[in-house]
Amino acid sequence: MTPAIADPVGHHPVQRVPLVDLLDRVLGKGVVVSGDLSICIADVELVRLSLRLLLSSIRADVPGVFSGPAAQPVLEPAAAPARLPEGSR
Amino acid sequence: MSGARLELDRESAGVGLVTLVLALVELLRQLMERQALRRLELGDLTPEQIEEVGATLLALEQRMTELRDHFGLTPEDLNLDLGPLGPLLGD
Amino acid sequence: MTGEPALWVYAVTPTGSALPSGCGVDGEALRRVAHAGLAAVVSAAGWAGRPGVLEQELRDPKRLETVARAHHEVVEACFRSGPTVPFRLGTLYRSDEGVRDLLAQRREELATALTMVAGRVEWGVQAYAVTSHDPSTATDEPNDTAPPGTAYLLRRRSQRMARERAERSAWEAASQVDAALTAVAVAARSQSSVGAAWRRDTVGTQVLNMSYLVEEAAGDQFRTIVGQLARRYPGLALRVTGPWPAYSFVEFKGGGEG
Repeated sequence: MTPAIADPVGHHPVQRVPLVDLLDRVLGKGVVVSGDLSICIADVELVRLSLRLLLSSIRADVPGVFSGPAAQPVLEPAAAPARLPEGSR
Repeated sequence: MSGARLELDRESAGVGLVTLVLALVELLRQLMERQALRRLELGDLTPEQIEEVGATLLALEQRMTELRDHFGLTPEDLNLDLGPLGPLLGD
Repeated sequence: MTGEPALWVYAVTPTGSALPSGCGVDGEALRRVAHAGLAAVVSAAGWAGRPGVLEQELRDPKRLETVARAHHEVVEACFRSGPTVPFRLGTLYRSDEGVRDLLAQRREELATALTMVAGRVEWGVQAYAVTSHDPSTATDEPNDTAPPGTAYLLRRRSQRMARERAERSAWEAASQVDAALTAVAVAARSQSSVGAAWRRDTVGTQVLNMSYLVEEAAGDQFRTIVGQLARRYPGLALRVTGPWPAYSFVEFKGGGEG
């Protein structure tokens, strides 16, 4: 497999900055300098966010295995999926 | 490939229940397999035990493949993304 | 403006630098608070004035993205017009006075930081161990004589060992890449991966995530070297982002209640 190098982004319209890399830099380990309203955006918050996204995204309309008649189908075809916005890749 | 295909999209359809269940089963299967390989390395299993464990894991892997195919899921579909915790089943 | 008054701080520059045109988070006007040769670029952020509101809002991925990009746009604009000490998200002060206190108390560190970053940019470099997803890569140990269960385990073992060998050599290659890039950089920092929650495009295990501070004029040379390293280590996929304002090279000891 040929190694890939992304073209460096350069001075570009801000919308094109890869979000992942931006977040790596602007979040970090919390604030660089704590203002007098001190806040701390810790990694823990992001973990909670991701776990919540995972748990809450289990489709509500899928019947639980412990409810309803056993013959009820668990699987339904999904609606046409919406793609994640480009900026968030 | 039979069975309806689950579209994994966290914005709308989300992770279906079947996917979640199979992901967890796959996780267990991989953990058991890893444990078996560890015992193999330690050398404290008899050839009969090795064969029995191996045959069970082989059957389990085949069954998982059948289940995935039935629901139209790829191995990557089961590799749930836990965000900063990384993918469920590793890279 | 709702809530308690609050000022969002984007960056610190020398007082001579031009204020960026455009606006800040939520379209708020930018202005500067100056003290002793330094100027902090700020905007009103009353919505974040009450404790806990900012953390709450930033839990929403869309809001986080909007705020992060707005913040970065201001930092980038400052960076284009001169030396800039970028601040990370969420540095808030109640008043101009608080900001002036910051500039006064941190004057030495800020001035040093401005000197450090002047004329330099940050490049992000990541390396991923290129993994083959083909499970049937094991070639040794013909298992005609072994019973099927045993053969399966032996096959799995050799696959696992091959994967581990490949990963080890990827880590070694990554440290070679880091050494080569550090040699041409002013400074190097390990990059935290808090954005991992949104990472979707990996080709394998990440074995390097570094930021390098490089002279602005040396950007082309830096990218050329990365290209050479990519060819030298085919087991790695290298990814470069930048040039960034020097977010990762500004650190202050002991942030606390200002």
